[in-house]
Amino acid sequence: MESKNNINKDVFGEMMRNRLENTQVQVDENCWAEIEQRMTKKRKVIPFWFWTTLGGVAAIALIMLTLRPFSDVSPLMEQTFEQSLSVNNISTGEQKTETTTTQNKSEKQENSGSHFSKQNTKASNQKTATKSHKILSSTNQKSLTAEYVQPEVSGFEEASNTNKNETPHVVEKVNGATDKSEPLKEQGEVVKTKKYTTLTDNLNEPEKVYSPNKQRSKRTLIAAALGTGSNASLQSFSSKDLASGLSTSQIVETETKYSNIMSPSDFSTITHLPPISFGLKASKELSDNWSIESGLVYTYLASIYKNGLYQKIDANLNLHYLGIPVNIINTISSRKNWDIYVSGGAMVEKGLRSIYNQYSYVGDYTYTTVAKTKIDGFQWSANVAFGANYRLSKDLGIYIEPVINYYFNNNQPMSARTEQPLIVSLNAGLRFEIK
Amino acid sequence: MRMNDEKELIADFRKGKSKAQKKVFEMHASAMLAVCIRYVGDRETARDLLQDGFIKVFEKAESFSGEGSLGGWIRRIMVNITLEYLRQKDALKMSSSIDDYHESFASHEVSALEKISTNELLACVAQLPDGFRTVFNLYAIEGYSHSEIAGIMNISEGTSRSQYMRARNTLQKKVQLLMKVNNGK
Repeated sequence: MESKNNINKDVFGEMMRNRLENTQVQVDENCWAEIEQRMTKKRKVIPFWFWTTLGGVAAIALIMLTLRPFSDVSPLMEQTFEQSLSVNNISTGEQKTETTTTQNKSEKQENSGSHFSKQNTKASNQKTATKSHKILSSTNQKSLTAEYVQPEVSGFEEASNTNKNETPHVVEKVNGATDKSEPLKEQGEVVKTKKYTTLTDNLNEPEKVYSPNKQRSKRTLIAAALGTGSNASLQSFSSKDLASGLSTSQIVETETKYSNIMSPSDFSTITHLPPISFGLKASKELSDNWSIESGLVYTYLASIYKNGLYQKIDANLNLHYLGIPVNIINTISSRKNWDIYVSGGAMVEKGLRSIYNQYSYVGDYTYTTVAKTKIDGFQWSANVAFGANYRLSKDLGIYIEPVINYYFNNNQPMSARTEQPLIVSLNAGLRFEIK
Repeated sequence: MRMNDEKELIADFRKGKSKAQKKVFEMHASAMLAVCIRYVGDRETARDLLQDGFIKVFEKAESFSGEGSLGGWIRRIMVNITLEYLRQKDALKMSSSIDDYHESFASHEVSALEKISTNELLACVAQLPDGFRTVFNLYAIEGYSHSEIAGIMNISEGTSRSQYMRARNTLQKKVQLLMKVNNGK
């Protein structure tokens, strides 16, 4: 029986196999459309890890906003330029003048390379420091915090002033006293007087013997990438750069409202720290080789200002931006999991916050001014990139791309971008593909 | 299709490009629908399974190594999809309701069988009970051994063998009947 069945199998089974193995049955036209529809629905489900990553990036951005990590970081590169100035920094007009006289205190004024006459006068064992301020005219839209603390006290306190026509809140501390109003009298060593007069904005500016170059430098910044969707630029200034690098940008664009905030020309050393960006980008395929990319990019810009020309003063500026890039990507080569591509596009960024910290050193006093302001307007930029994308999965890839960015002059606060509008950066990060 | 075109198609297919997916569907959908019909016996169900199968194919595209034919790889996925469907509806339980049938299939009948259309043959296969039809498809058409079928269907090798015999004899009877009907026309 078994052999008979085997024979039967050989004949009937083989015949059936020959007839049916490669049989084809016509598929109706709607079948593919329905598959596409079902796949589109599936793709719209954003996986959990996407939100986890997004949350992580948001958390990092929040930390950056809160901690201002580069406030006290030593500059990666510093350039100093020297100026010979003959300054009559005597203020007239609307002016708030503070005169502090301290006995048995030696002034440690350091202004290497700068030669100018100051209002500060020194007599034997006696110091008089004069500081000029514009009268604060703050509005409800902007707030200024001004605080004076002595060097021994770590950190500083903030007092916001948002009411119109109010002067900055000034806190003075002497020799470790914690009482904000009484220490001077209690110590009995400091005699302090305050006098408010009027000073116009222009008169508050120191006289300059050089003409700031109105043209922004076109030098290229070299950048290295770190982290998710980050870019960082290491910039380089030569002395020539600095001479011409003092652009029309101000440290705080709303300077007329904050009398004691210096302008870039008040400092002999300006260092723009590498911008740091974190972002999430998603790309959508337009055709086989073309795709469009967009997302959300947070950027932190920090600048350090040192060696005030007219008084001993340091400052730093922290800028926080959130941007939306839109790029077109052309895949020029695909091999296994690698895609090589070129891209080009633009990004618009909105400044979230400008935080300016200024430290004026007068004798043993440190006057700290903190100005937190909005950033008006938008920063527009264009970019072209050449990159490689390694597909970790069908929807997720890790990319690395050298990018040439050009930042347009949009009256933004002074930063690496305003001084060097053409920046080459190396970006790396995760790219999500949306089908 | 030229070799380079096929390589490019497979590369794009593995990357999940929609154009390549559509092309792959167009190339293999008809054959795969026939596979599905052979296993489930019902065109509408087969069409649904075909769609499920291709979605799985696209999702798993990156796992296609490129060794062997793309058609063969898709076919294995389709077979697995249909088997999973049959398992879920508990259709792979072996039936013993078919009487043994031991009539041999004479060689002269092979030539007569050529006159039967593919659709008629498929209809004959579709009339088999699910379990028998599955064993017949796996053994006679796909070329699996009984030990492999035993593993796939979670049955013993002996059961697979006996089920195949019964399925084949039943099918043979149906085909012979059909041939007689056709000859009488």
